[in-house]
Amino acid sequence: MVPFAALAVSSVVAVSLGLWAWRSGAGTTSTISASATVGWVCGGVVALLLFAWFRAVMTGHQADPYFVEPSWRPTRLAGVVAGIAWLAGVGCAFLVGAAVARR
Amino acid sequence: MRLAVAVAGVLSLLAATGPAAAATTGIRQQASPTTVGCATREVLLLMDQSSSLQTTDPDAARVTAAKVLVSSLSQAGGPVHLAVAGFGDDVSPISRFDLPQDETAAQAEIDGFRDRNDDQNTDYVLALEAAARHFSAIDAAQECKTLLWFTDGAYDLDVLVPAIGEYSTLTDIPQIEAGFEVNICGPGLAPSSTLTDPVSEHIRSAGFAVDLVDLKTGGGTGSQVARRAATEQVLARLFDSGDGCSVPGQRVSVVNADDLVGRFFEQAQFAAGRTAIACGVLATGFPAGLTHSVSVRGTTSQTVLSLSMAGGPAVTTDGTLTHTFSDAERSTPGTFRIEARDGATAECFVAIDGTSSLVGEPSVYEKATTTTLSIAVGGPGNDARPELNVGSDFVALDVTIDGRPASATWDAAIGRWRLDLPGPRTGTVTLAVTPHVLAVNGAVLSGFTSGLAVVAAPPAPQVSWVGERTIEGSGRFDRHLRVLPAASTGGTICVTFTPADQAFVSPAGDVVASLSTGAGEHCGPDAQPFDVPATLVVDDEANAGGSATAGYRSSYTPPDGTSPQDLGVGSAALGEIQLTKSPDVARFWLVGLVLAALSAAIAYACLYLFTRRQTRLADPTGYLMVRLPLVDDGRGRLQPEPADPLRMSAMRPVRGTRSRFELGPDVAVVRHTSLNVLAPLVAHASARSGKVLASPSLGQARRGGRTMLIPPRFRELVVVHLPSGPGTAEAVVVVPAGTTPQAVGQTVSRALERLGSAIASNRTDSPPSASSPTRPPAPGTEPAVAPVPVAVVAARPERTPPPPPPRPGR
Repeated sequence: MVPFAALAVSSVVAVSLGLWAWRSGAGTTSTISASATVGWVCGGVVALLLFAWFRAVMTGHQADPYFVEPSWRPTRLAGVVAGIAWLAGVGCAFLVGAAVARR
Repeated sequence: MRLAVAVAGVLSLLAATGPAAAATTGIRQQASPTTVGCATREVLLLMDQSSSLQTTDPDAARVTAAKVLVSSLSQAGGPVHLAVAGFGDDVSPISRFDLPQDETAAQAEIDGFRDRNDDQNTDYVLALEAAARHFSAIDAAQECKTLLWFTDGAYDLDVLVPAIGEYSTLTDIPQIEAGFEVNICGPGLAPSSTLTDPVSEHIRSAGFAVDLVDLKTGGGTGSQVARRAATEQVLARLFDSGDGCSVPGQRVSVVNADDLVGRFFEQAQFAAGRTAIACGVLATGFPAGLTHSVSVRGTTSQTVLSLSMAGGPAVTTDGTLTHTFSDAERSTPGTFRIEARDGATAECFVAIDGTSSLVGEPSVYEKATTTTLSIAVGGPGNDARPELNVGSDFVALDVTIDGRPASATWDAAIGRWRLDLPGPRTGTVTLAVTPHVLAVNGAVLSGFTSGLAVVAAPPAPQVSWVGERTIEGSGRFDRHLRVLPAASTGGTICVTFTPADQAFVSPAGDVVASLSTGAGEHCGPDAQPFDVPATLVVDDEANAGGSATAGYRSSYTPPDGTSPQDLGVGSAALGEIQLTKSPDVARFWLVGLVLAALSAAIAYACLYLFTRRQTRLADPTGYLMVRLPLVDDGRGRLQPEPADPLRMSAMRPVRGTRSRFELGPDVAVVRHTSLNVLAPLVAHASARSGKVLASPSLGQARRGGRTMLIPPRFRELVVVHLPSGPGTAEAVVVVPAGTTPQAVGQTVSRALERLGSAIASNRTDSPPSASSPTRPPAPGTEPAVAPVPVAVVAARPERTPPPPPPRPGR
């Protein structure tokens, strides 16, 4: 649960920062938005590292022949969450790119 | 052993965010811009050093908390004179520090209280008298002088010490204790008291607030409980605003020493002039223009707190975050945000600072049915930059016109508050405005009271910039200036801009753009605002900001159409516009894609390395294996040969590496690696010929085949090999070293039972007679799978490794 929760938090942070940066006009001037930069790190890097950690934990569980994956399918859900985080990170990356492109 | 009872005073009128474990009583001075304005803050920290702390606070949480307090005071955003003293039998000499420069020395002094916990008395009279003497010598406003008083006990005298002589000539301790309430509250003084007035009177005269942090852990003997009760009665009066004994300040009681950090942090914020604010408000954004400083505590010392605002770098710290906004930051439009990771925000405080003012020099036209006034509310520079004004999202205005309430409305288009003054009027109109910050309980900004003259001539209109302030690229941009008539009469207002072109000038003095309003008059009814088209001309694109002031001459034509009256020349600050270059498309895509690819590459590399590591097989030296021939039980089911009981000697070490286990001439377990980092993490149980079935397996238990997917980190593994030609089916069992033959037998039985139907369906291609000898079924019973016969006496496993088997083909 811990790696999944951390992954979910990281994803939410990345999406929030991306939205915040976009609403704050990130990319509309040459100033590189701190929110967009942190959002990229959160969504593009940290979330995917957490996803890897989650998979490591799940692999340990799968070694148990009696392990039954919970009905809410955390493995599949984690992939979706990591994907969302990565997309948010990419969005933040383009906000940074837009600011750099104005320089 | 000495008792102690808590007494603590703390100021704060808020009470909003304290944890449930803390109870707050008393009244604190309301936070206001004046509290931000203390030139120097005077803080005296009085620490209990009675022996009861050995029981109530054995881990010295008070020291940790006091160090948090010192750290917070060091970030108060201004000089703080901190005095530190302990009290118990007597009051120790006061140590003085100038924060923030003496923070290290102050922290060292605080550390010394870790072992100062062996005084037998807890003498509140001496403590408060010392505080009163300390503050009476300081000439400062009451809101700038704070006593932070920590105790865990009660007024409690166990031994007669010379210091008591400072306020009593008695020598009988019960008699001295009996005079406690009178000595503190009066009226009069206790018998044989040497005080000149009750202590509470001295506190009020010295003009300081008492913040009492009272650690009440409970328990104690009967006499201790009685002394606490007696002290409680006095403290209740001391912090009861309706009692004549009351002093300014507040008392916070905590029941757990671990809560002290939070309470001391809170007291430091109050002493620094900050006020509690809901952390959710800071999470969604709060205007920097209204904020002198902000301080936030996370739920743990590891909580990562970050402050971000548009155009500025994020400020990130662990545990607590305090930031004092510079004028440049406060002059940045927009809000700042506080975010927390690895925890949440526990307590948030802000020092509010802002002003309000009338825009221009308005007057009231005697014939106007409505006079419209503009009000600016915000931080530094807001009078010249309307974009810095703060609207109804964050503030509300209390307005009175000649003493009667009125309401102002926020006009987001021009960034100002608008107030309609009904007319016609005569004489003078008195306008009073007090802005309140919505998110901070009771916080007010600097308001104003203005006497507006009622005049015979209509006032000049005001002009504001309307629309977005970020201009991209170069060229001509159509914008508008809004003319805001000040008086409504049914007449007409005309404006002529002089000159017709207004220059936007950067702080460096460069003209970055010009605004052309066209020559001639622009007229409209004076009953409502009207817009004048304006063209913004940007010759060269740049990343720069510039501001402009529009000069204009205005005239008024009465409703009857008589000759226009000249209203004179006016000027309007149009605020700052931000020019930005058009994005270079190639660079935009290049940077965006590089960052996206970088994040993908980092993620892929990490996942690949993780996957590579996770697909490794377990260390083979930690495993044993045994091969068990299987026979048909006559019903088409395989089971181990009952005549060949499993012995320990039959169990051999597993040969191989973490990439491959050799389990016999035909069977192996092979690690599976793939460039697909999202593929399931598996290993293969494979046979050179024939079919294999495995338990545990992944997803194809019933199918069987040359290879079978298994989890790479199995604890025990049973691979059933069904040869395609002549030969005997066998079960290859891999178990952790140390597993007994009995456990192996149970493992095999379970696996054969789980794989029974799969084995049966996979044997259809190879008749039982061809692959396994048939044994007639035992009469009478039909177990699903017969128990594996096990030799009763186990032997050590044979350590001689078997000859290397040929590598199985794929």
